[in-house]
Amino acid sequence: MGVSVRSGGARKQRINSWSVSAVCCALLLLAPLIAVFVGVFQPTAEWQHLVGTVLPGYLMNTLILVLGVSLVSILFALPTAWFVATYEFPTRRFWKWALVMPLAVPTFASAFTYFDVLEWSIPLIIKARQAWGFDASQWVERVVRYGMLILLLSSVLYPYLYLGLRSAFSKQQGVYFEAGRMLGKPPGSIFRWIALPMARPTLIAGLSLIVMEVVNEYGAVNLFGVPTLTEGIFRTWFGLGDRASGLRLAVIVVVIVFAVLAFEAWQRKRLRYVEGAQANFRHRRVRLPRRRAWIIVLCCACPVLIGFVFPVVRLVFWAIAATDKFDFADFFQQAATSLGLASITALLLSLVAFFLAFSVRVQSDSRISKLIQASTLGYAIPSVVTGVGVMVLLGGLDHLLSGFSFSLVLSGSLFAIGLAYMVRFMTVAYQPLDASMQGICATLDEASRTLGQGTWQSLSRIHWPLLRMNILACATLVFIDIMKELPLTLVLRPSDFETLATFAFGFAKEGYIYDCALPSLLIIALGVWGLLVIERWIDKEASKSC
Amino acid sequence: MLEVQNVSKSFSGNDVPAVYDVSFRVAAGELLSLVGESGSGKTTLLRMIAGLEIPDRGQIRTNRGCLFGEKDWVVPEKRRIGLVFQGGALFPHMSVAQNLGYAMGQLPKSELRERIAEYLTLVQLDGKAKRYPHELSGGERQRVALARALAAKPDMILLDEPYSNLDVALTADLREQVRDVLQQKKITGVLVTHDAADARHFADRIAIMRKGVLVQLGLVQDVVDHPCDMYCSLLIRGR
Repeated sequence: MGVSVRSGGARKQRINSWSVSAVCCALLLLAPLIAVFVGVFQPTAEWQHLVGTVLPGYLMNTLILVLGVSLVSILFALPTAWFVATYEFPTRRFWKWALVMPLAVPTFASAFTYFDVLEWSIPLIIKARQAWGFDASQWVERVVRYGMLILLLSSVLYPYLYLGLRSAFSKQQGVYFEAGRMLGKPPGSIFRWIALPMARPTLIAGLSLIVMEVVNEYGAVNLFGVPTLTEGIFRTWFGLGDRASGLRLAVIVVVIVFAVLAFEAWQRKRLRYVEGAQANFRHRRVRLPRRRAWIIVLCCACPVLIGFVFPVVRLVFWAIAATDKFDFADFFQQAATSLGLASITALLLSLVAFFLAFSVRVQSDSRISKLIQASTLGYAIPSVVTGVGVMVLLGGLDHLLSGFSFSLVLSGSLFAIGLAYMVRFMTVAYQPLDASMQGICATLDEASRTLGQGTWQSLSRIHWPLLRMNILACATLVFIDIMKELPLTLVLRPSDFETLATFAFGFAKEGYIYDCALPSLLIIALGVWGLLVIERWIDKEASKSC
Repeated sequence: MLEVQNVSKSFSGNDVPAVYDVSFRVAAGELLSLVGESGSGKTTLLRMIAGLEIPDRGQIRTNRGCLFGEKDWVVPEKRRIGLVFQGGALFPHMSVAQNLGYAMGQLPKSELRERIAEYLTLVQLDGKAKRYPHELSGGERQRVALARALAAKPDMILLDEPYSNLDVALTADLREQVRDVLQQKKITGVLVTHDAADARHFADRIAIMRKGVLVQLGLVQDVVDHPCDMYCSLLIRGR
């Protein structure tokens, strides 16, 4: 088998078993999404009705949440990432990882704990009604409800932005900061004009993840009664039974997400954010006077208190209160199912991601590389859309397999959930593995080649040993995501199948709010463990590259 | 004017000081080359003058007063000292004009445009205002870096191995230009280099450093004709 490396070496057009396997994997990952787009053209009688009634509301709610959560997430993530990366203050090391912890809290669990906080606003709503009438009180109620939802979503999603920005600020070459200082600029100006614009790609990448998560959100918006496009797909597909309209809504979501990403990419196409020829050293953290240091500690504490401490403390109290009547046998069964499904899928998915990243590296045909890269963008598609795509695809295959009599061999099995998780979370494992793969110098492949080793030997003896810890870290990240996953599992789970997330959400929907505490806490505990593992790994990698 | 008195600096983990008891004076408008091998302490000394490293002891003064002393410490951004970095350190997300404009601060738009054009003419880069750093050659980048440092109107310019990434022909051209520009603007300049030819062509005087110590300081011709020892002789004749 021939090896040609993307970043160097002679290229040779060649179809081989490597390319064929990679293309098959890519097509399998793309198939559910293609099924969604094909389904859009089916005739539907309800579409005009949807457009005239609920669609504007879905769009408006989605837009409000996307803008609100993006803004509040920036407020939480930007200053804290800057402080942790560039200043030395007491407890900095603690906050460095504590600020990541809200990522372990599923949005629906956070929503349970904040839901009754809305009741605290009742006196305000009554006063508004007495002073300005019924309509005004409705407005106040909506503002409070939307505001609370935005705050709780931001408080658990901001770590996506914080993690990227912290890394970007830490890695920015100190020479630019020094150049700014030598031009007579104070730290504020250096942050505004140098550090922040140079971190723009990271800022946009983090915000894109947050936007995708908000568009994908189901549990929290459902509890708070704010119907978004994702909720709309659920209602149209499962409530009205109108598949074609559901698919059209799904395509609107996908088009919006990709339009935002494409606009940003076009807007910054001439700019560069790194220069290779600079003296390569990191800036040193500045030690702060005690009073200013404590203000910074306060800034770091706010998002952690809102996003982690408050929900976890409430859940712990609820769990203790519910211990007497709780069905532990059921709980342990759901926990075992969740852990098993999440671990196996995460490991398998990371191995496939590694294989795909390596295939892109050794691929000579750029069309195949692009196909593979496109197949790993499932995270940009809301999970309910992915779920619908898998259902359409596997439903069709079931139909064929059973000799035209309908049965649920594939679409009603764990295979459907596994495939859907693969499609949805491939990005999470692929992107970091591809970046690490590109970090391996092309001359290593060339050296292996001149020593008479083929593609498989290069993979097993060079790339695998170099990247196996990265693969484990990616598997941990995917594991956390799968444990928290809700809408996809709700759409695709076989009957009487529960994960911890659906188990907790089911209790909360039925009003058994105390019973949802224990499964939620277990998801959070596993998430915290996973994040600590990843943080340690990131620190190790950073110390290696210094 | 720049006056360095008995300046020393050690880094933790190193028994030998990076710079030890260095003293010299550079008159207003004078050009000085600090030359030495890698690890001789010349860049550390330059960074202490710039304020990017804090000396352990000694004194650094300019005509504006004491920058570092027993009780004095002026932060880098207040020293009015320009620094041209090794790779230029042009901000990659800003165009040439924006890099220069950033150094000039708040000015009315028309005046800003005029002054940017003036500085670009000075370094012979007319018409390149809208280019980004990655669209420039190595020599052009260094000239923009010089223009940017000058645009902040410093009292003095420090140059940290500015020609190290350039080829020989380009270096010869550029060092003439840099010298001309500094003389034209009557700005005091200190060049740090390990290249004897750069040092000889740039400066009025040369200071040779070895293992953190200033071993010889004098007019270029004096140092070339009468090196104080074999080390200085080999270093300054470029062998």
